[in-house]
Amino acid sequence: MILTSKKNIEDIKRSLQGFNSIVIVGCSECAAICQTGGSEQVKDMENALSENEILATISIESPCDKRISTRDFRRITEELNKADAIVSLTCGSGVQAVSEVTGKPVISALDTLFLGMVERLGEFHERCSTCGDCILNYTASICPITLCPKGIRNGPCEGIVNTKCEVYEEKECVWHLIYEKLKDLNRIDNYSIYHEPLDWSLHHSPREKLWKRRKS
Amino acid sequence: MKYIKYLPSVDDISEIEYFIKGLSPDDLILIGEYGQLNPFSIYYEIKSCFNGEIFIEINARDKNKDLIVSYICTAFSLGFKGLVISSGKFEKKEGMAKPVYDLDPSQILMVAVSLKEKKFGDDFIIGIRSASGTGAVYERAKFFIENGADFLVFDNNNVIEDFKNRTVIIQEISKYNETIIAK
Repeated sequence: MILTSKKNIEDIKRSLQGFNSIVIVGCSECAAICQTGGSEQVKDMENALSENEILATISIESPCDKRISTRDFRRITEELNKADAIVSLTCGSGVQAVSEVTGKPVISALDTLFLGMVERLGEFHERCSTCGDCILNYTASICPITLCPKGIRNGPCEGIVNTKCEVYEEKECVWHLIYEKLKDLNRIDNYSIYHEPLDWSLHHSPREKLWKRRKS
Repeated sequence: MKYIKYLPSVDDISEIEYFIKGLSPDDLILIGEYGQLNPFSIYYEIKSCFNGEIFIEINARDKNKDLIVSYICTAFSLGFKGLVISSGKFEKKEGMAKPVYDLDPSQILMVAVSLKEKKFGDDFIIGIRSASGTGAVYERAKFFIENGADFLVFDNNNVIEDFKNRTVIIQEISKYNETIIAK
């Protein structure tokens, strides 16, 4: 899930200067779970931007999916045509999809934080950095790229203090956790496997994945 | 066990003579890179008043692979006896620009060992920093030794017994502390 946080409303108002008529777009997937872009937050935004003319509000299931955005925006075509700008309560991918689909100026109301694991509502943990070269099969399903502040692929670093992290003293070093879990799983041989540096020629931004359709 | 005198940072080239007076030619010096001056810039200054062997610490931090290769080759070309690989300190309170850890110490070791085999020869010595006290650390230290590190460098006397004959312990040369410098 993609984690987002709300931008300061004054920053949003500053970005809206020069635009009067607006449409507010929410996301009923990730941003709704984060309580940053669900229907309640769309309503809050509507109230906060009451000085503007709000032409329509809409919650889209996955605004980052251009097919779904295109379909759902058809419901408010008239309002969209009149709108000076769109305020988007979505992740960065959503903002850009909305922009590409509508061709309108889009003001982002959220900051995109990380790809998160949901512990419970309101508690999210970063577990994957989307590095593109996953070594979880060798690290007992614990990601050192994300959980080590230095992102070390062959750890631990020399800064480990007893079993604690050099940077976050209250936390266990992730490489210590990996070692202990591999021992428990009887897979300790995996610990000494050397992991090459990431091949950035394959993984640098902007990344894209293009599937070829199978011929049936 | 051997000891190495560590000069973690230099902010002014005129400090050099002051730092190293009192050291004997048998001492090893390790120049760190936490000061404002690039350690390469002080090599000749140190060499002019010290006859012993000089090592350079290469932090993984804030260097991409190209810069790391450049650091290692420059160290060899200038005449450093060898290098000590470390990850480099990182404090959670640091703001603004993100610290970069492009290669980790194991990966730098691989680069350095490859350069040593192809270009530098056996006289160039590769050390690498290690911690101690856990199974995870022991296994990594073993990996370092098995993959070409000549010695492990420890911050204090808590070393790994099995690698004692391949161990060097750091003794910091304190700035502005003449009594420690004179030891």
